[in-house]
Amino acid sequence: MDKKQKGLKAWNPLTSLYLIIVLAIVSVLFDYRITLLIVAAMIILAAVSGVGMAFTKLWLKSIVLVCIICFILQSLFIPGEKTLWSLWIFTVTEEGVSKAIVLCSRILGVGSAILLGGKIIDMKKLMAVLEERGLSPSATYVLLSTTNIIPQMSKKMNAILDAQRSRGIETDSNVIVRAKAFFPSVGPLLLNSLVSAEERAITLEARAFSAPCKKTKLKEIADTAMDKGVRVVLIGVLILAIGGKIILWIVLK
Amino acid sequence: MDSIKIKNLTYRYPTAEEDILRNVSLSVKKGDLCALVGKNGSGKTTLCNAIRGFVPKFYKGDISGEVLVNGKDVQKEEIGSTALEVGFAFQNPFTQISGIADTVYEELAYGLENMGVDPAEIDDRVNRIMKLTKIEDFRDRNPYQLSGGQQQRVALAAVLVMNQDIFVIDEPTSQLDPQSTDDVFEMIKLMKSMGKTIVLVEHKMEQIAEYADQVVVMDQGQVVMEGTPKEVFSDPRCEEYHIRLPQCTGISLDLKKEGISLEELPVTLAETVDIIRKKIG
Amino acid sequence: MSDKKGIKGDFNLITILIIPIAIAINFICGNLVLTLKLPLYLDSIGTFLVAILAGPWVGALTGLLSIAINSIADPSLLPFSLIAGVLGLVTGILARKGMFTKLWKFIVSAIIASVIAVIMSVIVSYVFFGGFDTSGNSIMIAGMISAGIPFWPAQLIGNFISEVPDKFLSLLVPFLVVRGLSDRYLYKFSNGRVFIDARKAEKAEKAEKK
Repeated sequence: MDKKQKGLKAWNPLTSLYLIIVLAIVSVLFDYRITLLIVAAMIILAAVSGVGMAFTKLWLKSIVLVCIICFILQSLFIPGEKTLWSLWIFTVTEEGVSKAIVLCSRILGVGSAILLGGKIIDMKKLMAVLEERGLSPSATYVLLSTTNIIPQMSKKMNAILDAQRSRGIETDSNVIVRAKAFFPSVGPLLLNSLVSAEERAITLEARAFSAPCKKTKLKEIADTAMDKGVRVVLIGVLILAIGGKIILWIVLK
Repeated sequence: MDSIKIKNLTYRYPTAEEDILRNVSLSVKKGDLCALVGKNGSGKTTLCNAIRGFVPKFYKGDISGEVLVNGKDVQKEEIGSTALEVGFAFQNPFTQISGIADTVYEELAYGLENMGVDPAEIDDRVNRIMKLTKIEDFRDRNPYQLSGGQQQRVALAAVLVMNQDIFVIDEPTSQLDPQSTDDVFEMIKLMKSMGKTIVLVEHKMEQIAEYADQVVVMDQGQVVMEGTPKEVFSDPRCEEYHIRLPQCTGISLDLKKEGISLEELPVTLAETVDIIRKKIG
Repeated sequence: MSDKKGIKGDFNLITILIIPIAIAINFICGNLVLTLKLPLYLDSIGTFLVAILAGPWVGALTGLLSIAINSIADPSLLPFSLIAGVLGLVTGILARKGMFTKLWKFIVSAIIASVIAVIMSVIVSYVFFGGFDTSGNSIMIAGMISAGIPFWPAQLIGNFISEVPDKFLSLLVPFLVVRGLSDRYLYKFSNGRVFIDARKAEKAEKAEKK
């Protein structure tokens, strides 16, 4: 069951979380050149952890696409004095472009970091570590059960939709008809799931969810000396980056 | 010794117009299986909830009287502490999945983690209970992807593994097919053989006749009859309270009307065969 | 029975259990809208439902979390979790004040929520994306700007068109669902009392008329 995890995935999830946060903050602090370097590093990190392809695909589809759209719209529609290029009603100004670069660099940095976090951090392990450090078990439950409930409810939704179709409610007709299909599909799902919440509360109580005991975890997550060291280094990097930014700012002033 | 002792319990749900339990008194001896029977709405489920402390802690409402479980007053205990005394399972298999475990193994371990059991011991206990309840085949499957019957067995195993002395099981088979019903009763038999005290709400009278030590009939929030299966099923008031008799008891009563009377009224199949053998004899 | 007050009282076990369900509802309704190709989002029905039942804090948390979880797959959504959080908060407060017990009150509440939604979308979209995020209305806004409408009015109009009908419908669904819940069920939520009392008052009123 426990396959040997590669790269960042073998780390304590808390360490990976520190890394993601530091990468995101540093990329926001500095300009686009640093951000590009950081993003390149992220792709390498993803590849080392064995999720290179998955990360890059998702990254191109979401972050890069957002940046491109954002960049085009920004540079076209932010008004400015210095015109770089003009065609018909479209005018690209220098102000527009520089603003677009700043914005896109931020989106790229933070967005890629979150995406990488999603790929390399095992939520279940992360929550276990956080719970050990005092996070409420209720928070763990909310986050972990959400990922379990969505596919379950999707399945039910599809069953309801099929039933609607077989009853002759058209789901591919005009807007009004389609809108009318929405409410009868959603209503029963909402009511059912609300009622099931009550029973699930009973289930959790039956499983000693609120018993006054110190909980244990079946799988203990190793927190090695290396993890601790990496975290200290990351905090150091963060402090240096913030300090450096402040100094740069004062010097430039 | 009595595992469960209920004294003059009266209860009304918040928003309700009348009492759902009226002056209920009941004792269940340690190691006994007590079957609660009666019409829908007669208060069986509410009584189960009262034993576990969900009434009034979870449902709120007005309560008077006392529920003692292992000598402790449930109403004075924290709702979480009673989890360590009473195991609880109910009708709907789907909502008895914790929603947080990826495999059946983890599902069983979840309760023990919450109780703070040592990981090595958790592994041990989960493996043993999976073997005893014959659910090892599903060990690594996602609990959501099991059938209703399998889910119900996992739910019962997940409670059994917590190893409380007392189990309250509310209509475990009412949504199951005959095969799964048999499987569930196998598990209840197993619990009984482990010396557990069990309160069971069930409509399948044949099984009750076979496994129960004590049958309690409820009607409109009151306990109206109480005794061994034999005492209760041979009582003519069963008809008044719409209690379906076990098939062999029913047949024997029909035979009596036809003029063929047996020495005594049987409630289980084995007993019927025995009595008829003797008669033919 | 003393009912616990304040934030802690809002987060009882059943509300904790309803948060994941609400997030799932958001997700599924959002997807259903895509399947049915409706020109709306309707991805906050679950948030509004819990906010109405369990109050502002649970509503805010659900809104925030819901979008935050989605943004693991599409990080450009993350800033919008702020809007969802505030809307959850506002809806919860309105519900606690009894603003979802009658149709006219619902309409007032929906207008308040819509106005906040429009203002916040304009701000968030400007601060984080310079006014042009990846949603469909950016194209519309861009079109308006090239047609000569100034930047801010274009932003307001664009967001008005995309937010107002959406928020109205998203609030309408939970408003109707709550009407279908029994008193006994409502009682378990911190805002349940508000609805139960309103029902009683309505009944009494009807009885008086007769």
